[in-house]
Amino acid sequence: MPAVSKGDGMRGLAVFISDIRNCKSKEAEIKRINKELANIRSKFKGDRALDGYSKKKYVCKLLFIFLLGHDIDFGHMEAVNLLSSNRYTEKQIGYLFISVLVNSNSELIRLINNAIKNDLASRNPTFMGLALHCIANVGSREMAEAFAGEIPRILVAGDTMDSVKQSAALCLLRLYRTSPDLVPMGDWTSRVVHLLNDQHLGVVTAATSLITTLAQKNPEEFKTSVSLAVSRLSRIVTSASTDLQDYTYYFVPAPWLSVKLLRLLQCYPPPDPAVRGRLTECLEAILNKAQEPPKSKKVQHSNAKNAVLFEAISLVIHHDSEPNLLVRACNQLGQFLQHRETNLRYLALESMCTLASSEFSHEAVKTHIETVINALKTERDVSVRQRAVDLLYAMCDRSNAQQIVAEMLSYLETADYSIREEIVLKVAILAEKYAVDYTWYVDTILNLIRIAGDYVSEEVWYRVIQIVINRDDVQGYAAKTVFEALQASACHENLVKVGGYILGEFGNLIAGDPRSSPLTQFHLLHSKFHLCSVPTRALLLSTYIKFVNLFPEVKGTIQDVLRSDSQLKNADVELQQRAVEYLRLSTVASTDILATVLEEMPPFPERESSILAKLKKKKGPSTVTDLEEAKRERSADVNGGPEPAPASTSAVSTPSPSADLLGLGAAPPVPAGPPPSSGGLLVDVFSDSPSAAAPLAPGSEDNFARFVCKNNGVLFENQLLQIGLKSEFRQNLGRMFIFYGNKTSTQFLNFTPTLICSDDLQANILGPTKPVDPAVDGGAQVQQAVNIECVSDFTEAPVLNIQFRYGGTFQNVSVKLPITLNKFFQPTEMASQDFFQRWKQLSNPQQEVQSIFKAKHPMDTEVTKAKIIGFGSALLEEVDPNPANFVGAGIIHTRTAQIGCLLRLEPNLQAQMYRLTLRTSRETVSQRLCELLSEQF
Amino acid sequence: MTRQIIRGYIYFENSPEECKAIDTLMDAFGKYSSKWYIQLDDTSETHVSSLSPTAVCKLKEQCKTKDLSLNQMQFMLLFSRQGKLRLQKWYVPLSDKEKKKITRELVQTVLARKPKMCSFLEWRDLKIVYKRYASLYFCCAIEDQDNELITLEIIHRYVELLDKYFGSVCELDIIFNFEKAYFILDEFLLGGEVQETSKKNVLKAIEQADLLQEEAETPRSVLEEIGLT
Repeated sequence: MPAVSKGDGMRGLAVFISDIRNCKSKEAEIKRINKELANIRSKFKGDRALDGYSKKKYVCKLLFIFLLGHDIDFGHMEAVNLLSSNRYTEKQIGYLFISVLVNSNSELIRLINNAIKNDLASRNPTFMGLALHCIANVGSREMAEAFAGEIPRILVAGDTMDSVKQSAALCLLRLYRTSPDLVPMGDWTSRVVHLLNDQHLGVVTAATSLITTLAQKNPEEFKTSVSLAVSRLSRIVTSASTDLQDYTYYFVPAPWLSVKLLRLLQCYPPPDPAVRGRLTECLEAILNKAQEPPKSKKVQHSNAKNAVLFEAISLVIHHDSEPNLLVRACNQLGQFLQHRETNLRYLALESMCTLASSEFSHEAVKTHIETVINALKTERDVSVRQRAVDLLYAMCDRSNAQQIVAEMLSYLETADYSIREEIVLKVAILAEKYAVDYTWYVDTILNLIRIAGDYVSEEVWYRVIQIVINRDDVQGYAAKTVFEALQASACHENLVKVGGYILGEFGNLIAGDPRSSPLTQFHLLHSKFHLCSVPTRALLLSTYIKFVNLFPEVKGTIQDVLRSDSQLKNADVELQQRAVEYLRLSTVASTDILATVLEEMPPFPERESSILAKLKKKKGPSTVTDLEEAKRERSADVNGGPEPAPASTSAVSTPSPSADLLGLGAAPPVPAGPPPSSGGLLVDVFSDSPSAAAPLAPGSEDNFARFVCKNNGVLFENQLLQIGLKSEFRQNLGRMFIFYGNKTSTQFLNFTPTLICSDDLQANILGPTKPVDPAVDGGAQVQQAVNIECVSDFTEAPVLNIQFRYGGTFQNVSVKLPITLNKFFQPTEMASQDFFQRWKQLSNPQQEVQSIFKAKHPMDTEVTKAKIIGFGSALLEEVDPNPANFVGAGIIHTRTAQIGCLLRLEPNLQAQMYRLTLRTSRETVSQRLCELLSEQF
Repeated sequence: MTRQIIRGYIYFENSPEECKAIDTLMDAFGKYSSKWYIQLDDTSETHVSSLSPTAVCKLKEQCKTKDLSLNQMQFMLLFSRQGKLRLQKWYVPLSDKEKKKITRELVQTVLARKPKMCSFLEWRDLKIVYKRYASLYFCCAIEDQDNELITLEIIHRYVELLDKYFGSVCELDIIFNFEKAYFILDEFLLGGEVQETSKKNVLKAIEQADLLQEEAETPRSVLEEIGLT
């Protein structure tokens, strides 16, 4: 244990800390701490009043224990008591404890504030300092309420000590940051500005921070600070290194203050000519100093000097009006690019990124391209290489795009995994932005996929397809290139996707060449088929049907493939469905119909080049609605006729990039996402799709709620059994198919599902047609249908009970079947006028039910719309005067009655709340619908 | 489009449609920063819990040209080579859980770096400035537009202050006199901003306090001291 040399040696504390350090294990440490906590607790509770010293010591021990990472749930009161001690160190420990363990206990806050108030009024500068430090450390709203009025007075009072002024300035800054509304502007502001002239450089430093922050929000009020800051800066820059005594840091005069002043000036545009001349002189002086030989070899000297230099360069870039200074700054940074200090190279690369965006210095930055490329290749620190990538990206323009993209691509081959995705995106953006020749663009993206296929996100390959489809001049080249790329023995799945899509559209353009005849193209693609994931295979099936149209001569071959068991009987319903439909389409449809249905994709709406705009449009509301409609249409003709309507086929046959992007973007964040396509059900039943992976407790409400706005999906899953649902409802009738999947390899015996249901709802398992076999083989799936009729409105959902024997043990599972009142909704479209007329008619208080609730999911307009539609009501556009609100209308059908329903959902983004209002002609219906729907957001 | 990042808030001063589009864009993307907000107008503020590298890439590019300097130090951590936290100072309100998580992640990240690497790194949406002195790492988190080099010298000045006060400071001094380390830090940095850069002035303030307490303390007998442990 070292001798405690300074201040108040709290011997007991030192002993305790030693003990903790000597603990051999975490357990021993916890034991020692618990012993100490018990000791302190008994001291605090004991009859004998503790003296200040003991209290201080124990509070300090508690603080130490807390800082070790343990919870402390007592001692706050004792710490607060210390605040009112007259002994400085006791007070100090009390304040430290409060600062570290902020407690929102209102009673304590009042006591703490009281103690602070006394200390602020004490006129004892050390006590005032402690109180101000505490406010600045805690910075809570309660403290702002109590002291935001008082502190400005302390700050500008003539008789306040310098050190107190410094604390007061930064204390006020902290309060302004946490609660700007509570800090009143007033006369004091002009006096604060004049602190920039203060004799005491410490006061100036603290005041500059405060003024900078205030000036950002209130530039007008602090405008006078500009000329004061410039003259202060000028005095510092021109001072000899010894003039400022202790404020000179390793021969650099007042570096912290200089940086802050330069920062303050960045809140404003370039000043008036007179002041501006002076400022330019300062900036030039700073740039000149960088060229002078160093006054010291110490790194602190160069760091401090360069800190000021970089801040000056930031100001030059901010003003962006002095070409001369910008070019000088750029040259200076260019020197740093080859400096031996890694830190300087890093910062030079970073700072040059912003210089690259100025028209005055862009060209000057570009001259350093070789150095930067070299940095990319030779820097040993990944964070420096990252900066080099950023700078290359920033300095890229039409003249050097090819070089930069080529360098980035070659770097990508060996790049760190952590930055690959970002480089891929940058390359994709640059290649698109600066492509003069689109063949270059296609080559670049295919190279990207080849080098870093795993890091190529969906939107990158969607984008290459969009561009190829929109530009006829590149289509033939693209087809040829992907065909060649696909020859590689191992190619990335993303390449198969791009290849499949492009050959399906434009394979005919290269079919003249015998080396890429239709049959060769087909065999090439099909050779990759078995290696690909389900979505890619689905895409390839669409390519095949497109081939049937493009090349009648391969029709037979393709039909054979579609007809094979591995397609027609594929376990994946999406693939199976496509195979069935495409086979049928190719057999039944005439050439004309085929040509119409399988026409080349129309050009995508032309987009601005930036990814931002691209995504903005892709995510636009229209696409969302279309997609939902397409999906709904598809679920309508689940087992429909042999000729699906062209509209739905095109949605199936060529997954539109925008639609897929949306689907991917919208689904993951929301557990109860948009209703899956009809195919989704069996996919879920057979695969471990992520949404269904979690084993759910029987009758889980969560899973039940997910079905309120959708009809298909997995209802239940455990180690043994999976239950999937598919249902349809029309008016007051419905039919539900229940799929029981045996996930084990062992047979289930005596498998008996039964349904328990209230009188308001009739649900009968269709015994005769589809009896469930009492034995379910391992890995098998059995199906059962249930007919449902809504007799009158109901709240209780039927319960499905399943009993079976598995390997000698008896299993019993009960789940609620998601048959809810809203399933019997029929959407009703109506105009704004009608809506409000009906809304008024339903003004009886029993008819309205309202609920206000917190959003449980991200508040996304499109998801909300999809949910309201999924709920069953019509979504009425342009009815509510506030476009942010949603209104819906529909009729609930029961055997005995039809109940009109109107709903209105008002989101409040700020509060993350919703208000939902339901008006129907029947109270119980309003109530139930409101309950059901409010659970969905 | 003009926009500024202000302490983790992005303010958009463009048309509501554009804002909305960007909002949607950001909503659509995965994991990046928990601290980004988009302000659509005066009243509504949308939390963007997640951003993908694409969005960040694009936004960073645009934000870099227009910046404001309402930045500050977020926190300072001192930890040993073994990863033991020796001092923590938080200048932004965070829950204890978050603090522990940040500490754990950051200690790991910094300790994994090699000696010759640069002292700055991007971490989440913050910049980390760190330096090792003997067995202790000093580590500050600052914001995007803050000055890295001056932060490095903040660390150095603090080390100098500790050194001067304890007389050639070592890790043990900071362990056994942690409260003093906090007091010195408070005199030097307040609310994440430099309060007093003069070494003399800071030490004067601390020594005055020590003097105050020595006058106040009455000497204690050894027995009394032991009885109270």
